Amino acid sequence: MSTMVALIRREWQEHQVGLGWSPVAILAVLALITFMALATSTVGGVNVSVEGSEGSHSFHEEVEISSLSALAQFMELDRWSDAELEENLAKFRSLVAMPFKAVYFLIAVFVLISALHDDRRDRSVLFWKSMPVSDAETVLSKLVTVVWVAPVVVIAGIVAAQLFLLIVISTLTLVEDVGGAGRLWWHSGLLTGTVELVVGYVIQGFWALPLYAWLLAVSAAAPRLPILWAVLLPGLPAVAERMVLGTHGVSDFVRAHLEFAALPAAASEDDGIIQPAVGLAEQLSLVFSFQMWLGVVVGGLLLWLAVYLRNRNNDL
Amino acid sequence: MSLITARGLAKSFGDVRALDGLDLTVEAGRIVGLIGPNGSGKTTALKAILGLSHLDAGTLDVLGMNPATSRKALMQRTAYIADVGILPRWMRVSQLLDFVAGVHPGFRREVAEAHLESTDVRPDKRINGLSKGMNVQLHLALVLAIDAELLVLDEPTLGLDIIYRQKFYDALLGDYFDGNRSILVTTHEVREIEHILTDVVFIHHGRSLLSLSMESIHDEFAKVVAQPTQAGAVRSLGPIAERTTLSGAEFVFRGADRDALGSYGEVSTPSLPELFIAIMGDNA
Repeated sequence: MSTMVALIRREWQEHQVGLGWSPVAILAVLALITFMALATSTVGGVNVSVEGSEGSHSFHEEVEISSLSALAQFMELDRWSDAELEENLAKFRSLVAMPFKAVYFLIAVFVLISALHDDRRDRSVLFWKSMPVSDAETVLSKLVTVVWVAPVVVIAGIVAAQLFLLIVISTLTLVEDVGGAGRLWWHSGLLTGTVELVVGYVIQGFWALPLYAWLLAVSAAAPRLPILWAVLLPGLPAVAERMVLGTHGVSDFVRAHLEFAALPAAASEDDGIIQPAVGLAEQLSLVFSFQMWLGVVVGGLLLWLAVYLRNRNNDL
Repeated sequence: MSLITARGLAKSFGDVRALDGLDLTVEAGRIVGLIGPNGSGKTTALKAILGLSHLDAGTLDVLGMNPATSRKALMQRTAYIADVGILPRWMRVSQLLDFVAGVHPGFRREVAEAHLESTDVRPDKRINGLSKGMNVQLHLALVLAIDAELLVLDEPTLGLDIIYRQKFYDALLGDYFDGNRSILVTTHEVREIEHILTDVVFIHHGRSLLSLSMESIHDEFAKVVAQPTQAGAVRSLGPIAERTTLSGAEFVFRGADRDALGSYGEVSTPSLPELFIAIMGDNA
Protein backbone atom coordinates (compact mmCIF):
# COMPACT_ATOMS: atom_id res chain seq x y z
CA MET A 1 0.00 0.00 0.00
CA SER A 2 2.76 2.46 0.89
CA THR A 3 4.29 1.69 -2.51
CA MET A 4 1.09 2.75 -4.23
CA VAL A 5 0.90 5.93 -2.16
CA ALA A 6 4.49 6.80 -3.06
CA LEU A 7 3.83 6.07 -6.74
CA ILE A 8 0.69 8.21 -6.84
CA ARG A 9 2.47 11.02 -5.04
CA ARG A 10 5.25 10.77 -7.62
CA GLU A 11 2.73 10.98 -10.47
CA TRP A 12 1.08 13.95 -8.87
CA GLN A 13 4.41 15.76 -8.45
CA GLU A 14 5.24 15.18 -12.10
CA HIS A 15 1.90 16.48 -13.39
CA GLN A 16 1.13 19.01 -10.69
CA VAL A 17 1.05 21.90 -13.12
CA GLY A 18 -1.25 20.26 -15.65
CA LEU A 19 -3.57 18.34 -13.37
CA GLY A 20 -3.37 20.39 -10.18
CA TRP A 21 -3.08 23.99 -11.29
CA SER A 22 -5.23 24.05 -14.42
CA PRO A 23 -8.53 24.11 -12.44
CA VAL A 24 -7.11 26.94 -10.34
CA ALA A 25 -6.16 28.81 -13.50
CA ILE A 26 -9.64 28.35 -15.00
CA LEU A 27 -11.17 29.55 -11.75
CA ALA A 28 -8.94 32.62 -11.81
CA VAL A 29 -9.87 33.42 -15.43
CA LEU A 30 -13.56 32.99 -14.63
CA ALA A 31 -13.27 35.33 -11.64
CA LEU A 32 -11.35 37.86 -13.71
CA ILE A 33 -13.97 37.85 -16.48
CA THR A 34 -16.75 38.23 -13.91
CA PHE A 35 -15.12 41.16 -12.16
CA MET A 36 -14.33 42.84 -15.46
CA ALA A 37 -17.95 42.46 -16.55
CA LEU A 38 -19.13 43.89 -13.23
CA ALA A 39 -16.64 46.74 -13.36
CA THR A 40 -17.76 47.81 -16.82
CA SER A 41 -21.39 47.50 -15.74
CA THR A 42 -21.07 49.69 -12.66
CA VAL A 43 -19.69 52.61 -14.64
CA GLY A 44 -22.92 52.77 -16.51
CA GLY A 45 -22.60 50.17 -19.15
CA VAL A 46 -20.73 49.95 -22.39
CA ASN A 47 -21.32 52.32 -25.26
CA VAL A 48 -21.02 50.67 -28.58
CA SER A 49 -20.96 52.90 -31.56
CA VAL A 50 -21.21 51.67 -35.08
CA GLU A 51 -20.17 53.87 -37.95
CA GLY A 52 -20.10 52.99 -41.56
CA SER A 53 -20.79 54.11 -45.02
CA GLU A 54 -22.15 52.54 -48.14
CA GLY A 55 -21.76 54.57 -51.26
CA SER A 56 -22.91 58.07 -50.53
CA HIS A 57 -25.04 56.88 -47.59
CA SER A 58 -23.34 56.97 -44.19
CA PHE A 59 -24.79 55.95 -40.83
CA HIS A 60 -23.97 56.32 -37.15
CA GLU A 61 -25.59 54.28 -34.40
CA GLU A 62 -24.83 54.41 -30.70
CA VAL A 63 -26.18 51.79 -28.31
CA GLU A 64 -25.74 51.61 -24.58
CA ILE A 65 -25.72 48.03 -23.39
CA SER A 66 -26.26 46.70 -19.90
CA SER A 67 -25.82 48.66 -16.78
CA LEU A 68 -25.63 46.90 -13.46
CA SER A 69 -29.32 47.28 -12.82
CA ALA A 70 -30.16 46.01 -16.28
CA LEU A 71 -28.07 42.97 -15.48
CA ALA A 72 -29.97 42.43 -12.26
CA GLN A 73 -33.27 42.97 -14.05
CA PHE A 74 -32.23 40.30 -16.48
CA MET A 75 -31.73 37.92 -13.59
CA GLU A 76 -35.04 38.80 -11.98
CA LEU A 77 -35.49 35.39 -10.53
CA ASP A 78 -39.07 35.67 -9.40
CA ARG A 79 -40.39 35.48 -12.96
CA TRP A 80 -39.37 31.84 -12.98
CA SER A 81 -41.31 28.98 -11.38
CA ASP A 82 -39.38 26.68 -9.02
CA ALA A 83 -39.10 24.05 -11.74
CA GLU A 84 -37.85 26.57 -14.30
CA LEU A 85 -35.38 27.98 -11.82
CA GLU A 86 -34.03 24.52 -11.03
CA GLU A 87 -33.72 23.68 -14.70
CA ASN A 88 -31.92 26.91 -15.44
CA LEU A 89 -29.60 26.46 -12.51
CA ALA A 90 -28.80 22.94 -13.64
CA LYS A 91 -27.83 24.41 -17.03
CA PHE A 92 -25.81 27.04 -15.23
CA ARG A 93 -23.95 24.35 -13.28
CA SER A 94 -23.15 22.38 -16.44
CA LEU A 95 -22.04 25.49 -18.22
CA VAL A 96 -19.66 26.40 -15.41
CA ALA A 97 -18.35 22.82 -15.27
CA MET A 98 -17.68 22.64 -19.00
CA PRO A 99 -14.30 24.38 -19.25
CA PHE A 100 -13.01 22.46 -16.22
CA LYS A 101 -14.08 19.12 -17.67
CA ALA A 102 -12.86 19.81 -21.18
CA VAL A 103 -9.44 21.00 -20.03
CA TYR A 104 -9.13 18.09 -17.60
CA PHE A 105 -9.95 15.61 -20.34
CA LEU A 106 -7.38 17.06 -22.74
CA ILE A 107 -4.69 17.05 -20.07
CA ALA A 108 -5.63 13.51 -19.00
CA VAL A 109 -5.22 12.28 -22.57
CA PHE A 110 -1.82 13.89 -22.92
CA VAL A 111 -0.57 12.75 -19.52
CA LEU A 112 -1.58 9.15 -20.22
CA ILE A 113 -0.23 9.02 -23.76
CA SER A 114 3.17 10.20 -22.56
CA ALA A 115 3.11 8.31 -19.24
CA LEU A 116 5.09 5.26 -20.38
CA HIS A 117 6.83 6.95 -23.29
CA ASP A 118 8.66 9.99 -21.94
CA ASP A 119 10.65 8.03 -19.38
CA ARG A 120 11.84 5.70 -22.13
CA ARG A 121 12.89 8.71 -24.16
CA ASP A 122 14.94 10.31 -21.39
CA ARG A 123 16.04 6.87 -20.12
CA SER A 124 14.81 7.49 -16.57
CA VAL A 125 12.85 4.27 -17.07
CA LEU A 126 16.09 2.53 -16.09
CA PHE A 127 15.97 4.29 -12.75
CA TRP A 128 12.27 3.56 -12.15
CA LYS A 129 12.88 -0.08 -12.98
CA SER A 130 15.83 -0.25 -10.61
CA MET A 131 13.34 0.27 -7.79
CA PRO A 132 11.38 -2.63 -6.26
CA VAL A 133 8.18 -1.68 -8.04
CA SER A 134 6.39 -4.02 -10.42
CA ASP A 135 5.30 -2.94 -13.88
CA ALA A 136 1.67 -3.53 -12.91
CA GLU A 137 2.01 -1.16 -9.94
CA THR A 138 3.60 1.47 -12.16
CA VAL A 139 0.88 1.28 -14.81
CA LEU A 140 -1.93 1.24 -12.21
CA SER A 141 -0.52 4.23 -10.35
CA LYS A 142 -0.51 6.27 -13.54
CA LEU A 143 -4.08 5.30 -14.35
CA VAL A 144 -5.39 5.92 -10.84
CA THR A 145 -3.69 9.31 -10.52
CA VAL A 146 -5.11 10.66 -13.75
CA VAL A 147 -8.53 9.01 -13.68
CA TRP A 148 -9.49 8.98 -10.01
CA VAL A 149 -7.19 11.34 -8.11
CA ALA A 150 -6.96 14.36 -10.41
CA PRO A 151 -10.78 14.75 -10.65
CA VAL A 152 -10.83 15.63 -6.94
CA VAL A 153 -9.18 18.94 -7.82
CA VAL A 154 -11.34 19.32 -10.93
CA ILE A 155 -14.51 18.86 -8.86
CA ALA A 156 -13.21 21.24 -6.20
CA GLY A 157 -12.58 23.81 -8.94
CA ILE A 158 -16.04 23.36 -10.44
CA VAL A 159 -17.80 23.66 -7.07
CA ALA A 160 -15.70 26.69 -6.14
CA ALA A 161 -16.60 28.35 -9.45
CA GLN A 162 -20.30 27.58 -9.00
CA LEU A 163 -20.22 28.90 -5.43
CA PHE A 164 -18.39 32.02 -6.50
CA LEU A 165 -20.85 32.83 -9.29
CA LEU A 166 -23.86 32.14 -7.05
CA ILE A 167 -22.42 34.53 -4.49
CA VAL A 168 -21.90 37.19 -7.16
CA ILE A 169 -25.43 36.78 -8.55
CA SER A 170 -27.12 36.79 -5.16
CA THR A 171 -25.10 39.81 -4.06
CA LEU A 172 -26.21 41.57 -7.24
CA THR A 173 -29.88 40.78 -6.63
CA LEU A 174 -29.54 42.01 -3.05
CA VAL A 175 -27.78 45.23 -4.02
CA GLU A 176 -30.28 46.00 -6.77
CA ASP A 177 -33.12 44.74 -4.59
CA VAL A 178 -34.76 42.60 -7.23
CA GLY A 179 -35.33 39.70 -4.82
CA GLY A 180 -34.92 35.99 -5.26
CA ALA A 181 -31.56 35.45 -3.55
CA GLY A 182 -33.02 32.99 -1.05
CA ARG A 183 -34.77 30.97 -3.76
CA LEU A 184 -31.55 31.00 -5.77
CA TRP A 185 -29.66 29.19 -3.04
CA TRP A 186 -32.55 26.94 -2.10
CA HIS A 187 -32.87 25.68 -5.68
CA SER A 188 -29.18 25.86 -6.58
CA GLY A 189 -28.83 22.08 -6.51
CA LEU A 190 -25.23 22.57 -5.45
CA LEU A 191 -25.18 19.56 -3.11
CA THR A 192 -26.81 17.09 -5.50
CA GLY A 193 -24.74 18.57 -8.30
CA THR A 194 -21.55 17.89 -6.37
CA VAL A 195 -22.61 14.33 -5.58
CA GLU A 196 -23.40 13.87 -9.27
CA LEU A 197 -19.96 15.14 -10.19
CA VAL A 198 -18.23 12.74 -7.79
CA VAL A 199 -20.30 9.75 -8.86
CA GLY A 200 -19.91 10.83 -12.48
CA TYR A 201 -16.13 10.82 -12.34
CA VAL A 202 -15.97 7.48 -10.53
CA ILE A 203 -18.24 5.86 -13.12
CA GLN A 204 -16.59 7.70 -15.96
CA GLY A 205 -13.24 6.18 -15.01
CA PHE A 206 -14.66 2.73 -15.63
CA TRP A 207 -16.73 3.75 -18.62
CA ALA A 208 -13.74 5.29 -20.35
CA LEU A 209 -11.34 2.56 -19.25
CA PRO A 210 -10.82 1.26 -22.81
CA LEU A 211 -9.72 4.72 -23.88
CA TYR A 212 -7.39 5.33 -20.95
CA ALA A 213 -5.92 1.82 -21.01
CA TRP A 214 -5.45 2.11 -24.76
CA LEU A 215 -3.48 5.33 -24.33
CA LEU A 216 -1.25 3.63 -21.73
CA ALA A 217 -0.66 0.58 -23.93
CA VAL A 218 0.32 2.73 -26.91
CA SER A 219 2.46 4.87 -24.63
CA ALA A 220 4.38 1.77 -23.50
CA ALA A 221 5.14 0.62 -27.03
CA ALA A 222 5.25 3.51 -29.48
CA PRO A 223 8.76 4.29 -30.69
CA ARG A 224 7.80 7.95 -31.13
CA LEU A 225 4.72 10.16 -31.56
CA PRO A 226 2.50 7.90 -29.42
CA ILE A 227 -0.53 10.16 -29.95
CA LEU A 228 -0.38 9.44 -33.67
CA TRP A 229 -0.29 5.69 -33.07
CA ALA A 230 -3.14 5.99 -30.60
CA VAL A 231 -5.35 7.62 -33.21
CA LEU A 232 -4.28 5.65 -36.29
CA LEU A 233 -4.43 2.14 -34.85
CA PRO A 234 -8.16 2.17 -34.03
CA GLY A 235 -8.89 4.55 -36.91
CA LEU A 236 -7.72 2.15 -39.58
CA PRO A 237 -9.85 -0.87 -38.53
CA ALA A 238 -12.86 1.46 -38.18
CA VAL A 239 -12.37 2.66 -41.73
CA ALA A 240 -11.71 -0.91 -42.91
CA GLU A 241 -14.92 -2.17 -41.25
CA ARG A 242 -16.92 0.55 -42.94
CA MET A 243 -15.42 -0.24 -46.33
CA VAL A 244 -15.46 -4.03 -46.17
CA LEU A 245 -18.54 -4.83 -44.07
CA GLY A 246 -20.38 -1.57 -44.48
CA THR A 247 -21.04 -1.49 -40.72
CA HIS A 248 -19.65 0.85 -38.10
CA GLY A 249 -19.51 -1.14 -34.86
CA VAL A 250 -15.90 -0.22 -34.11
CA SER A 251 -16.35 3.49 -34.68
CA ASP A 252 -19.63 3.50 -32.69
CA PHE A 253 -17.95 1.77 -29.78
CA VAL A 254 -15.02 4.16 -29.83
CA ARG A 255 -17.24 7.20 -30.18
CA ALA A 256 -19.60 6.17 -27.39
CA HIS A 257 -16.74 5.77 -24.94
CA LEU A 258 -14.95 8.85 -26.15
CA GLU A 259 -17.98 11.12 -25.77
CA PHE A 260 -18.72 10.02 -22.26
CA ALA A 261 -15.09 10.21 -21.32
CA ALA A 262 -14.85 13.76 -22.56
CA LEU A 263 -17.94 15.08 -20.85
CA PRO A 264 -19.07 12.63 -18.20
CA ALA A 265 -22.45 13.30 -16.72
CA ALA A 266 -22.24 16.72 -18.18
CA ALA A 267 -23.53 18.94 -20.82
CA SER A 268 -24.40 17.28 -24.06
CA GLU A 269 -25.24 19.60 -26.83
CA ASP A 270 -28.66 19.03 -28.30
CA ASP A 271 -29.84 21.40 -31.04
CA GLY A 272 -27.16 23.77 -29.87
CA ILE A 273 -28.76 23.96 -26.43
CA ILE A 274 -26.77 22.80 -23.44
CA GLN A 275 -28.69 20.10 -21.64
CA PRO A 276 -28.64 19.63 -17.87
CA ALA A 277 -26.21 17.22 -16.33
CA VAL A 278 -27.09 13.58 -16.46
CA GLY A 279 -28.84 12.80 -13.20
CA LEU A 280 -27.73 10.38 -10.55
CA ALA A 281 -30.24 7.77 -11.63
CA GLU A 282 -29.07 7.92 -15.23
CA GLN A 283 -25.46 7.66 -14.15
CA LEU A 284 -26.13 4.69 -11.92
CA SER A 285 -28.10 2.96 -14.65
CA LEU A 286 -24.92 3.02 -16.71
CA VAL A 287 -23.29 0.77 -14.14
CA PHE A 288 -25.70 -1.98 -15.12
CA SER A 289 -25.44 -1.46 -18.85
CA PHE A 290 -23.85 -3.93 -21.23
CA GLN A 291 -21.71 -1.20 -22.85
CA MET A 292 -20.19 -0.38 -19.48
CA TRP A 293 -19.06 -3.91 -18.73
CA LEU A 294 -17.94 -4.59 -22.25
CA GLY A 295 -15.80 -1.49 -21.84
CA VAL A 296 -14.42 -2.64 -18.50
CA VAL A 297 -13.45 -6.03 -19.96
CA VAL A 298 -11.83 -4.44 -23.02
CA GLY A 299 -10.15 -1.88 -20.75
CA GLY A 300 -8.86 -4.63 -18.47
CA LEU A 301 -7.34 -6.48 -21.41
CA LEU A 302 -5.72 -3.29 -22.69
CA LEU A 303 -4.33 -2.59 -19.21
CA TRP A 304 -2.82 -6.06 -19.15
CA LEU A 305 -1.31 -5.28 -22.56
CA ALA A 306 0.10 -2.01 -21.21
CA VAL A 307 1.76 -3.88 -18.31
CA TYR A 308 3.13 -6.51 -20.68
CA LEU A 309 4.54 -3.87 -23.03
CA ARG A 310 5.97 -1.90 -20.13
CA ASN A 311 7.78 -5.04 -19.07
CA ARG A 312 9.27 -5.62 -22.51
CA ASN A 313 10.15 -2.09 -23.57
CA ASN A 314 12.87 -0.03 -21.96
CA ASP A 315 14.14 1.84 -24.98
CA LEU A 316 12.67 3.72 -27.86
CA MET B 1 28.11 -18.56 -2.63
CA SER B 2 27.29 -17.37 -6.12
CA LEU B 3 25.18 -14.25 -6.41
CA ILE B 4 25.01 -14.52 -10.17
CA THR B 5 25.18 -17.66 -12.23
CA ALA B 6 24.69 -17.22 -15.94
CA ARG B 7 25.04 -20.04 -18.45
CA GLY B 8 24.79 -19.75 -22.20
CA LEU B 9 22.99 -16.42 -22.30
CA ALA B 10 21.82 -15.56 -25.79
CA LYS B 11 20.02 -12.51 -27.09
CA SER B 12 19.66 -11.19 -30.61
CA PHE B 13 18.41 -7.87 -31.89
CA GLY B 14 17.45 -8.61 -35.45
CA ASP B 15 20.59 -9.95 -37.12
CA VAL B 16 22.87 -8.74 -34.35
CA ARG B 17 23.81 -11.29 -31.72
CA ALA B 18 24.29 -9.16 -28.63
CA LEU B 19 24.83 -12.19 -26.39
CA ASP B 20 26.07 -15.42 -27.86
CA GLY B 21 26.39 -18.02 -25.13
CA LEU B 22 27.74 -15.83 -22.33
CA ASP B 23 28.80 -17.55 -19.10
CA LEU B 24 29.30 -15.49 -15.99
CA THR B 25 29.66 -16.15 -12.28
CA VAL B 26 29.82 -13.57 -9.52
CA GLU B 27 30.61 -14.79 -6.03
CA ALA B 28 29.70 -12.97 -2.83
CA GLY B 29 32.26 -10.42 -1.69
CA ARG B 30 33.83 -9.84 -5.10
CA ILE B 31 34.21 -6.84 -7.36
CA VAL B 32 33.92 -8.13 -10.88
CA GLY B 33 34.81 -6.07 -13.91
CA LEU B 34 32.95 -6.94 -17.09
CA ILE B 35 35.28 -5.57 -19.71
CA GLY B 36 34.83 -5.39 -23.41
CA PRO B 37 34.85 -3.03 -26.37
CA ASN B 38 31.79 -1.06 -27.42
CA GLY B 39 29.05 -3.34 -28.68
CA SER B 40 30.47 -6.44 -27.01
CA GLY B 41 27.24 -7.17 -25.11
CA LYS B 42 28.13 -5.71 -21.71
CA THR B 43 25.01 -3.60 -21.30
CA THR B 44 22.74 -6.33 -22.67
CA ALA B 45 24.19 -8.74 -20.13
CA LEU B 46 23.63 -6.30 -17.27
CA LYS B 47 20.08 -5.62 -18.39
CA ALA B 48 19.34 -9.32 -18.40
CA ILE B 49 20.82 -9.66 -14.91
CA LEU B 50 18.56 -6.84 -13.71
CA GLY B 51 15.46 -8.27 -15.35
CA LEU B 52 15.29 -5.44 -17.87
CA SER B 53 15.83 -7.60 -20.89
CA HIS B 54 14.33 -10.91 -21.94
CA LEU B 55 16.75 -13.57 -23.09
CA ASP B 56 16.37 -15.79 -26.13
CA ALA B 57 18.18 -18.68 -24.44
CA GLY B 58 20.30 -19.60 -21.42
CA THR B 59 19.78 -19.89 -17.69
CA LEU B 60 20.23 -17.01 -15.34
CA ASP B 61 20.08 -17.05 -11.56
CA VAL B 62 20.56 -13.85 -9.58
CA LEU B 63 20.29 -14.05 -5.78
CA GLY B 64 18.32 -17.26 -6.26
CA MET B 65 15.79 -15.62 -8.56
CA ASN B 66 14.98 -15.44 -12.24
CA PRO B 67 15.34 -11.72 -12.98
CA ALA B 68 12.93 -11.75 -15.91
CA THR B 69 10.04 -12.83 -13.70
CA SER B 70 11.09 -11.53 -10.27
CA ARG B 71 12.41 -8.03 -10.94
CA LYS B 72 10.51 -6.45 -8.05
CA ALA B 73 11.83 -8.91 -5.45
CA LEU B 74 15.30 -8.78 -6.99
CA MET B 75 15.46 -4.99 -6.82
CA GLN B 76 14.93 -5.05 -3.06
CA ARG B 77 18.40 -6.57 -2.80
CA THR B 78 20.09 -5.11 -5.87
CA ALA B 79 21.08 -1.58 -6.78
CA TYR B 80 21.92 -0.19 -10.18
CA ILE B 81 23.64 2.86 -11.58
CA ALA B 82 23.79 3.34 -15.33
CA ASP B 83 25.93 5.82 -17.19
CA VAL B 84 25.07 9.29 -15.94
CA GLY B 85 21.68 10.81 -16.31
CA ILE B 86 18.98 8.21 -15.65
CA LEU B 87 17.62 10.01 -12.61
CA PRO B 88 14.29 11.70 -13.47
CA ARG B 89 15.20 15.23 -14.49
CA TRP B 90 11.94 16.90 -13.48
CA MET B 91 12.22 15.80 -9.84
CA ARG B 92 13.63 17.67 -6.90
CA VAL B 93 16.25 15.94 -4.81
CA SER B 94 13.95 15.82 -1.76
CA GLN B 95 11.12 14.37 -3.88
CA LEU B 96 13.47 11.68 -5.13
CA LEU B 97 14.43 10.80 -1.55
CA ASP B 98 10.72 10.72 -0.60
CA PHE B 99 10.01 8.40 -3.49
CA VAL B 100 12.78 5.92 -2.78
CA ALA B 101 11.85 5.96 0.93
CA GLY B 102 8.27 5.19 -0.10
CA VAL B 103 8.98 2.22 -2.35
CA HIS B 104 12.21 0.69 -1.06
CA PRO B 105 12.02 -1.16 2.26
CA GLY B 106 15.81 -1.25 2.57
CA PHE B 107 16.37 2.48 2.07
CA ARG B 108 17.77 4.47 4.99
CA ARG B 109 17.06 8.08 4.19
CA GLU B 110 19.34 9.49 6.88
CA VAL B 111 22.28 7.66 5.32
CA ALA B 112 21.57 9.19 1.92
CA GLU B 113 21.18 12.63 3.47
CA ALA B 114 24.44 12.25 5.35
CA HIS B 115 26.24 11.41 2.10
CA LEU B 116 24.67 14.38 0.34
CA GLU B 117 25.80 16.67 3.18
CA SER B 118 29.36 16.37 1.91
CA THR B 119 28.36 17.36 -1.64
CA ASP B 120 26.87 20.41 -3.33
CA VAL B 121 23.62 18.56 -3.96
CA ARG B 122 20.94 20.45 -2.00
CA PRO B 123 17.53 18.88 -1.28
CA ASP B 124 15.53 21.64 -2.97
CA LYS B 125 17.47 21.44 -6.23
CA ARG B 126 15.95 20.03 -9.38
CA ILE B 127 17.87 17.11 -10.85
CA ASN B 128 17.72 18.92 -14.19
CA GLY B 129 19.94 21.61 -12.69
CA LEU B 130 22.61 19.25 -11.34
CA SER B 131 25.92 18.78 -13.11
CA LYS B 132 26.87 15.32 -14.36
CA GLY B 133 29.13 14.87 -11.37
CA MET B 134 26.45 15.89 -8.89
CA ASN B 135 24.00 13.61 -10.63
CA VAL B 136 26.28 10.64 -10.02
CA GLN B 137 26.90 11.74 -6.43
CA LEU B 138 23.16 11.80 -5.85
CA HIS B 139 22.64 8.39 -7.39
CA LEU B 140 25.54 7.03 -5.40
CA ALA B 141 24.07 8.48 -2.19
CA LEU B 142 20.82 6.63 -2.92
CA VAL B 143 22.63 3.39 -3.62
CA LEU B 144 24.82 3.67 -0.53
CA ALA B 145 21.67 4.07 1.55
CA ILE B 146 20.10 0.93 0.10
CA ASP B 147 21.08 -2.23 1.85
CA ALA B 148 21.80 -4.08 -1.38
CA GLU B 149 23.81 -7.26 -1.65
CA LEU B 150 24.59 -6.70 -5.29
CA LEU B 151 25.48 -3.44 -6.96
CA VAL B 152 25.46 -3.28 -10.75
CA LEU B 153 27.30 -0.39 -12.38
CA ASP B 154 27.11 0.27 -16.11
CA GLU B 155 29.79 2.75 -17.18
CA PRO B 156 29.04 4.71 -14.01
CA THR B 157 31.66 7.40 -14.48
CA LEU B 158 31.24 8.07 -18.19
CA GLY B 159 31.74 11.73 -18.91
CA LEU B 160 32.95 12.64 -15.43
CA ASP B 161 36.18 14.47 -14.76
CA ILE B 162 38.97 12.69 -12.96
CA ILE B 163 38.21 14.15 -9.53
CA TYR B 164 34.62 12.94 -9.56
CA ARG B 165 35.74 9.54 -10.90
CA GLN B 166 38.23 9.19 -8.08
CA LYS B 167 35.65 10.25 -5.48
CA PHE B 168 33.15 7.82 -6.91
CA TYR B 169 35.38 4.78 -6.61
CA ASP B 170 36.71 5.89 -3.22
CA ALA B 171 33.16 6.11 -1.87
CA LEU B 172 32.34 2.76 -3.40
CA LEU B 173 35.26 1.06 -1.69
CA GLY B 174 35.01 3.02 1.56
CA ASP B 175 31.27 3.10 2.13
CA TYR B 176 29.70 0.32 0.14
CA PHE B 177 32.06 -2.58 -0.24
CA ASP B 178 32.42 -4.51 2.99
CA GLY B 179 33.54 -7.95 1.88
CA ASN B 180 30.03 -9.41 1.84
CA ARG B 181 28.51 -7.32 -0.88
CA SER B 182 29.38 -7.70 -4.52
CA ILE B 183 29.84 -5.26 -7.34
CA LEU B 184 29.55 -6.00 -11.02
CA VAL B 185 30.92 -3.13 -13.06
CA THR B 186 31.25 -2.60 -16.80
CA THR B 187 33.50 -0.11 -18.46
CA HIS B 188 35.68 0.16 -21.48
CA GLU B 189 38.01 2.39 -19.47
CA VAL B 190 39.95 -0.55 -18.13
CA ARG B 191 42.68 1.46 -16.46
CA GLU B 192 40.16 3.31 -14.33
CA ILE B 193 38.95 0.28 -12.39
CA GLU B 194 41.98 -1.99 -12.54
CA HIS B 195 43.03 -1.28 -8.96
CA ILE B 196 39.65 -2.00 -7.37
CA LEU B 197 38.70 -5.26 -9.09
CA THR B 198 38.99 -8.70 -7.52
CA ASP B 199 37.93 -10.48 -10.70
CA VAL B 200 37.78 -9.72 -14.36
CA VAL B 201 35.71 -11.05 -17.23
CA PHE B 202 36.61 -10.12 -20.80
CA ILE B 203 33.62 -10.13 -23.07
CA HIS B 204 33.58 -9.89 -26.84
CA HIS B 205 30.90 -10.60 -29.43
CA GLY B 206 28.57 -11.67 -26.63
CA ARG B 207 30.87 -14.37 -25.25
CA SER B 208 33.26 -14.40 -22.33
CA LEU B 209 36.82 -14.79 -23.57
CA LEU B 210 38.52 -14.85 -20.21
CA SER B 211 37.33 -15.04 -16.65
CA LEU B 212 39.76 -15.03 -13.74
CA SER B 213 40.69 -13.39 -10.46
CA MET B 214 43.17 -10.53 -10.40
CA GLU B 215 45.63 -12.58 -8.31
CA SER B 216 45.74 -15.32 -10.88
CA ILE B 217 46.70 -12.91 -13.63
CA HIS B 218 50.19 -12.91 -12.14
CA ASP B 219 50.29 -16.71 -12.09
CA GLU B 220 48.89 -17.20 -15.51
CA PHE B 221 50.22 -14.38 -17.66
CA ALA B 222 53.68 -12.96 -18.21
CA LYS B 223 55.03 -10.12 -20.29
CA VAL B 224 58.52 -9.98 -21.66
CA VAL B 225 60.20 -7.17 -23.56
CA ALA B 226 62.89 -8.59 -25.83
CA GLN B 227 65.61 -6.95 -27.90
CA PRO B 228 64.85 -7.01 -31.64
CA THR B 229 67.62 -9.58 -32.18
CA GLN B 230 65.90 -11.98 -29.77
CA ALA B 231 62.39 -11.44 -31.11
CA GLY B 232 62.46 -14.48 -33.35
CA ALA B 233 63.50 -16.79 -30.51
CA VAL B 234 60.80 -15.44 -28.18
CA ARG B 235 58.19 -15.68 -30.90
CA SER B 236 58.94 -19.38 -31.26
CA LEU B 237 57.85 -19.91 -27.63
CA GLY B 238 54.22 -19.24 -28.63
CA PRO B 239 53.16 -15.87 -27.20
CA ILE B 240 49.47 -15.03 -27.32
CA ALA B 241 50.22 -11.49 -28.44
CA GLU B 242 53.06 -9.42 -29.74
CA ARG B 243 53.56 -5.74 -30.36
CA THR B 244 56.43 -3.40 -31.05
CA THR B 245 57.17 -0.66 -28.52
CA LEU B 246 59.90 1.94 -28.15
CA SER B 247 61.82 -0.33 -25.78
CA GLY B 248 61.64 -3.38 -28.01
CA ALA B 249 59.29 -6.20 -28.99
CA GLU B 250 56.72 -6.91 -26.26
CA PHE B 251 55.29 -10.42 -25.91
CA VAL B 252 52.49 -11.67 -23.69
CA PHE B 253 52.49 -15.32 -22.68
CA ARG B 254 49.87 -17.46 -21.06
CA GLY B 255 50.92 -20.31 -18.78
CA ALA B 256 54.61 -19.85 -19.61
CA ASP B 257 57.59 -20.53 -17.37
CA ARG B 258 58.72 -17.11 -16.09
CA ASP B 259 62.28 -18.26 -15.44
CA ALA B 260 62.66 -19.46 -19.02
CA LEU B 261 61.37 -16.14 -20.33
CA GLY B 262 63.82 -14.28 -18.09
CA SER B 263 66.76 -15.10 -20.33
CA TYR B 264 65.25 -13.04 -23.17
CA GLY B 265 64.49 -9.85 -21.30
CA GLU B 266 62.70 -8.35 -18.33
CA VAL B 267 59.64 -10.39 -17.28
CA SER B 268 56.63 -8.69 -15.65
CA THR B 269 52.90 -9.16 -15.19
CA PRO B 270 50.85 -7.49 -17.89
CA SER B 271 48.55 -4.72 -16.77
CA LEU B 272 44.85 -5.15 -17.33
CA PRO B 273 44.84 -2.90 -20.43
CA GLU B 274 47.80 -4.83 -21.85
CA LEU B 275 46.07 -8.11 -21.15
CA PHE B 276 42.85 -6.79 -22.61
CA ILE B 277 44.58 -5.82 -25.85
CA ALA B 278 46.49 -9.12 -25.97
CA ILE B 279 43.32 -11.19 -25.55
CA MET B 280 41.09 -9.00 -27.70
CA GLY B 281 43.73 -8.66 -30.41
CA ASP B 282 43.18 -12.20 -31.59
CA ASN B 283 39.42 -11.91 -31.46
CA ALA B 284 38.81 -8.47 -32.87
